[in-house]
Amino acid sequence: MKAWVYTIYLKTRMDWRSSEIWITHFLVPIVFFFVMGAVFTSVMPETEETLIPTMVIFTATMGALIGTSGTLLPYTAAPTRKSMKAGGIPFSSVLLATLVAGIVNLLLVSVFIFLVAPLVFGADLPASFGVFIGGFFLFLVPNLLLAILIAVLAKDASRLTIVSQAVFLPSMLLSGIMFPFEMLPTPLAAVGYALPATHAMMIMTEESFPLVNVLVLAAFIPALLFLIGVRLRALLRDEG
Amino acid sequence: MINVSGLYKSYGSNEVLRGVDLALKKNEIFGLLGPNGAGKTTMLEIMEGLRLKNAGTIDIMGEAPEEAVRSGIVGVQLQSSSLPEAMTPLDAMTWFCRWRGVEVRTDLLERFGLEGHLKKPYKHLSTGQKRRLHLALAMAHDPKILFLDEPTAGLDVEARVALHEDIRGMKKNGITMVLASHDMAEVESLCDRVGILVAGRIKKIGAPSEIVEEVAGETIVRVKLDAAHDWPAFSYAKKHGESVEGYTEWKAENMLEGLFEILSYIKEQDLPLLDISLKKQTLEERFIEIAKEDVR
Repeated sequence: MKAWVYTIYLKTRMDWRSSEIWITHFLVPIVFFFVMGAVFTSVMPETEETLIPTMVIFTATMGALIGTSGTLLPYTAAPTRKSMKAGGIPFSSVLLATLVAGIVNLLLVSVFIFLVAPLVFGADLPASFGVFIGGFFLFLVPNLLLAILIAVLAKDASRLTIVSQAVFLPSMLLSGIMFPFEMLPTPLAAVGYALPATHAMMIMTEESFPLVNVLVLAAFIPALLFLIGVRLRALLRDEG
Repeated sequence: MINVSGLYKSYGSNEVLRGVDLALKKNEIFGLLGPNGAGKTTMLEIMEGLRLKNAGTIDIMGEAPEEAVRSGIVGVQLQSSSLPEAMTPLDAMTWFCRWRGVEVRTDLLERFGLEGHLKKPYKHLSTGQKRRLHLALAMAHDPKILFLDEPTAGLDVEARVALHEDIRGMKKNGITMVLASHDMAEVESLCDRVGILVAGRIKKIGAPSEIVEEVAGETIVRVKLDAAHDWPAFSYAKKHGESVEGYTEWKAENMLEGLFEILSYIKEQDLPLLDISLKKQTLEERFIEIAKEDVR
């Protein structure tokens, strides 16, 4: 147990030593929040109603897909994997640590946005605090699992960037956080519906939990865990 | 202690190990020698549970390799190992020791000359420092068996001598070691037995002295003549000798007879002798010969 806890502590500390994490988890989301908050609320005042979920979903999506996935690459490289295996360190401990470190970082920024948005931009508080928090965690976990899956699938940094961007950009454009989901053309809406961010937006702006969206987000978790497991089995079975 | 039987590994049509049998005794240092591409690292990594074998069995104190590593019976220092760039030696040692359930071994980091670099990020360590760190990590939990793949590569002379002392000290403490190295002098001075792996098979196995002794009857007679004389032009030299760095060398099966024969010839021909010496084969020369035999 001590070893698992230390791995989480170490990974969190490693992440905080990384300039990429400071940029993708903290700096860009906060700058984006202030810039887009100012633009949205002055151009379309009605966005004050959804500013908090919009910015929180952006933060979690960017932080996970662009930031967290990159922090795993040094561990997925064969020489590091071998060193860990030879040292009796299960690779799953690093994945758990990545998940926890991601939750800690992105929760901190989300709390900041939640507290500052009403004061600076007059943003409305969520209709239901419980639904908002529940929806946030229900979104954050599969989002980070998706980032982990991308990282364990990627063979190098450039491919990781391509795949991460390929998921990140549709998540921004097709999930309803930039444009109303209902106004998207049907094929694009269908793509958007397959993304966790869309369902998160639908949950976090409601007063009660919409069952379908909750089930879809919840279903992402075992599905992603299964895919990560399959990939890891292939990756760790024969280090040659 | 370790029993390997019929170990076979191939990558597609490339057969890397072609039926290796090996039995290691408790408390011995076993050297694994072989030219590049002979399969040394593959063999070690299969024994360390890092690679899968296609056929054969490996028994490490009654355990399969993966279990032996997981349970801590085995310590492993890999030829190519790495850690995340921002991780410091102290972080790494703490991390590894936590998983092994032992106290943090900063003493090992000090012993390997890393005391001034405990908080230096991994990316700023020199190659030698990285190697010493991985060695310290492999030894942190006092394993009963230690696999060392090129342990002294990248080390300076002082660190190399210190590591040799450590290896001898670990042997005194009852640790069994498997050592892969290109440094013949190291293998000859440290190992109780060596196995020479050539093209996926162990071609020779035995104490370093035994392997050299196999050709003990052969003595190399080295002769140097005045440069003005074209010694290799002499028919005797052409027929029996081999020119090496200005000397002509013969392999004489019987030292006295060979020496007498050559000296008689030199005297008879009245050749201007500058230097003559006798030499026994070293493990390195024997190793090269064995490796060449397979190519032929």
